[in-house]
Amino acid sequence: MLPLRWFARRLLLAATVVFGAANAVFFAFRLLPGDPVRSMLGSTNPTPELVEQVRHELALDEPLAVQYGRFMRRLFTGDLGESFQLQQPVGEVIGDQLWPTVQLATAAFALALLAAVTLAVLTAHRPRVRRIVSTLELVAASTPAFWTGMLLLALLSFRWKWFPAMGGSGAVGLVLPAVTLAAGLVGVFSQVLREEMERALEQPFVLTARARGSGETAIRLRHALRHGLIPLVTLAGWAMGALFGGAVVVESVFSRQGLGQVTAGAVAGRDLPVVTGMVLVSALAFALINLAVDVLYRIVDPRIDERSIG
Amino acid sequence: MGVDGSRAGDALLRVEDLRISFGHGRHRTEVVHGVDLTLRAGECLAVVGESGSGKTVTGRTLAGLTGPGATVDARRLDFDGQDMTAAGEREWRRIRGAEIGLVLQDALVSLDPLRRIGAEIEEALANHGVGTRRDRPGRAVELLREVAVPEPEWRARQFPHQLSGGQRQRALIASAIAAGPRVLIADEPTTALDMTVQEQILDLLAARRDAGTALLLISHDLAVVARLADRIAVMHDGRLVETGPTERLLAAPTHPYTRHLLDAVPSARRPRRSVVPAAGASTAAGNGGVDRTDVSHGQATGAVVLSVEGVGKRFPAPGGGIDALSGVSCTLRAGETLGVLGESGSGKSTLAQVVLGLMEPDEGAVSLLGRPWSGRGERSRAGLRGRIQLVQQDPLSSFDPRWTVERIVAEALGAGGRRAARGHRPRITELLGLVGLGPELLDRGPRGLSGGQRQRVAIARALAPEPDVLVCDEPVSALDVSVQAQVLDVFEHVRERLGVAMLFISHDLGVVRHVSDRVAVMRAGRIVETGPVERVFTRPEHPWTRQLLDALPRPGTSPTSPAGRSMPGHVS
Repeated sequence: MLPLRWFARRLLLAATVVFGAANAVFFAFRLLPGDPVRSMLGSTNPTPELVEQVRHELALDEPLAVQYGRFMRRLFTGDLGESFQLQQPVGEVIGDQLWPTVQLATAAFALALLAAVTLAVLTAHRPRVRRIVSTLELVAASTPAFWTGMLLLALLSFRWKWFPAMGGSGAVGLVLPAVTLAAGLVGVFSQVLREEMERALEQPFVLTARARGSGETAIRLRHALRHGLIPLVTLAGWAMGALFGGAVVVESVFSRQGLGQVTAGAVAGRDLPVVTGMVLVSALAFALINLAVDVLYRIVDPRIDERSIG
Repeated sequence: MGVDGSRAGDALLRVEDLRISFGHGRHRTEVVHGVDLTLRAGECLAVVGESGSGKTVTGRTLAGLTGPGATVDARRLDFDGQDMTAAGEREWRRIRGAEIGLVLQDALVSLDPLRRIGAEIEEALANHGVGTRRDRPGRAVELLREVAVPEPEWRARQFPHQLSGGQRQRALIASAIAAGPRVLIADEPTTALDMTVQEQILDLLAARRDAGTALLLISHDLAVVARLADRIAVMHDGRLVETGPTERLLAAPTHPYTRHLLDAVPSARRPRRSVVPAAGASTAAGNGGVDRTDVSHGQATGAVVLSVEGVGKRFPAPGGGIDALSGVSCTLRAGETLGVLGESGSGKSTLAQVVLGLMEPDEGAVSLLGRPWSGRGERSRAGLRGRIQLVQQDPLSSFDPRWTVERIVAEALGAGGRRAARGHRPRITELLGLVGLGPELLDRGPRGLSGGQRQRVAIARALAPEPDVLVCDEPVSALDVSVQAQVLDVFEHVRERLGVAMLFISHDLGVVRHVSDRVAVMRAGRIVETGPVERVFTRPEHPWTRQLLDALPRPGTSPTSPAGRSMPGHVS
């Protein structure tokens, strides 16, 4: 049961977020100190003529209003401009690199979710194991991804040669990066999940379920787990950001293709159109994920339907 | 106790010297000290006691659900001749649901809010392999029909929050009886329900008993169990102090605690102020009460302090809207108590909000002390704000848990800070004295207080700005009967001393009859009947009022024997 009006309103809200991000990125780069043209040309100590020429080529010498108008016009037609460095349309650059990153993020998310659910279901309301696992989770959550990645590389790739150290293709190449990326999420996921599950396990409906003769496993999986998943859905928006931020590091550590690599390169080289494109793509992804989260909420928690009327 | 004279042969449940304790080693405390019970098929045994008496944990233990950290010892714990003292979890699981069912208090939290009603019932069937996966949904609908849930096919696909309180409780019972248990343990099965719904649920349980189920009814309310129970066991501090056939126990209680329990129930069948509890804190209520009753019953003479005229309030809802209030008018005079009686959803809490100026009425107007109260900005109300105060049902959630009693009361005196509170100490002590609390509580936090003490602090806080009107929204509904009686005495005392007018909202007819001068009966957002309390209770005019009064469970009568009508201590 999804009221169409509610959905339309949400969609409009998502569009507003993306539009806002577009404005923010446009003005932010104009307001930042430093000259993008000079930093692009780098340490070559260019002549003023060269600087002016490049500025003209990039249409950065026109009045701000004109630039803004063109930027927005292009945006609405889906044209993100051309990369300064790669001399390639930004849409193409991002499109080429999108898939490996999506693969990585999805694999990491699924892995983190699976591990967190397993840990939480096994340790909720079991003080002894809980204490140990909880400590490990804290360690995992507070270890930076580059460190985890290097550790895994050192052991599993260089010493035991189980996995490729660089790039790699297909599922085998995905394992280490995904594990590295997931490690940071597992701790947070399972702590939140367990907390909520423990709250649910103390509720009268669990007692009622026991009184029906349900076993411990059935109660954890059928009753408590669903309650635990609700705050996890809330976290999904945050997780998306964490995954993308993490991808930048992980892709560098494992020399993987992907948006993370592209973004890191573009920021270092002041490749304005690519950075702008990346911001917009992630804003879009963010808005869509949050839209999905809202829809998911209504599926997981039937009580929400009525509460949000108004 | 061997009063029950049970034939040992056909007892389904047989318990001897049941002891339950929590904790380990030095921290171990025994909460149930040697309870003996027998329960036969087709019989209803009621275990009655106040909170903390151990009745709930006893009931759970009989389903093998005492909980982690508990130690259960019993000389005998038989189910159908089978010894359960050494039974493991596996054995209990086989019995739970299939042989012994458990029904808890509030179905809103006792049914999983994220699962459909049907799924909850099917779970009970699946656990005990009743039917096949295919025909379980049909069987669940059948069970809902059996417990008289309307439109069972549709309800089975709904979630708990979409059902009314009564339907939910029926569904919960359906899930408990799904696998056909021979014993049903019902722990306060009607406590959260309105009077008329409560009656229906009791009928439903009676029908199960008549069909041969052994029913163990756990309740704090003697009046409720009296209707249903064949035998009553009174529990106090982890012991059964008295057990006996219902009529005998109600007509001639032998244990002082049973007598105390019976006396403390404010009865809707007796005129007010006939109930003065044994542990009464105030003497003023007893003496001054009599003549005040006479004065305020006939013609109210005081000045009008609060007047509600033609108030309407509409809430948006799918399919138009709901009239929470329509055309509600009433007046409250100085020193008078107006009881507002109604079931949940009747609009009584909305009325409280409008009267307090927390909600603007769509139509009509409220005036306080002769000045307009509704339809003006909160800023312009400031001068009058202190004249009307609120006492809520659950004081614990209306207190800041980190504040001391002193600070809680001081805030209402206009001294928000900790240091400012010190300066008001004499006045705070005086206010606490007024509600029967000593100064030793000043430094306690809300959690360090008992339920009755908390409600007294809430009253003291409400009295701090010296209000003319006190709005009391179900102020004693969460309390045990004997505590309830004490708190009602506090209200009485406060009224004698300060002459404050009260708008006393409650669903409990006994309580309303006990405290009110006049009564307004609400239903579906309207006041259907209003008048002096004696007239309304003895000669109700509106059919709804009559229905409410008929729904009253009568202590001293049970469906099996309409004989023992009167109770001791029945002075009027």
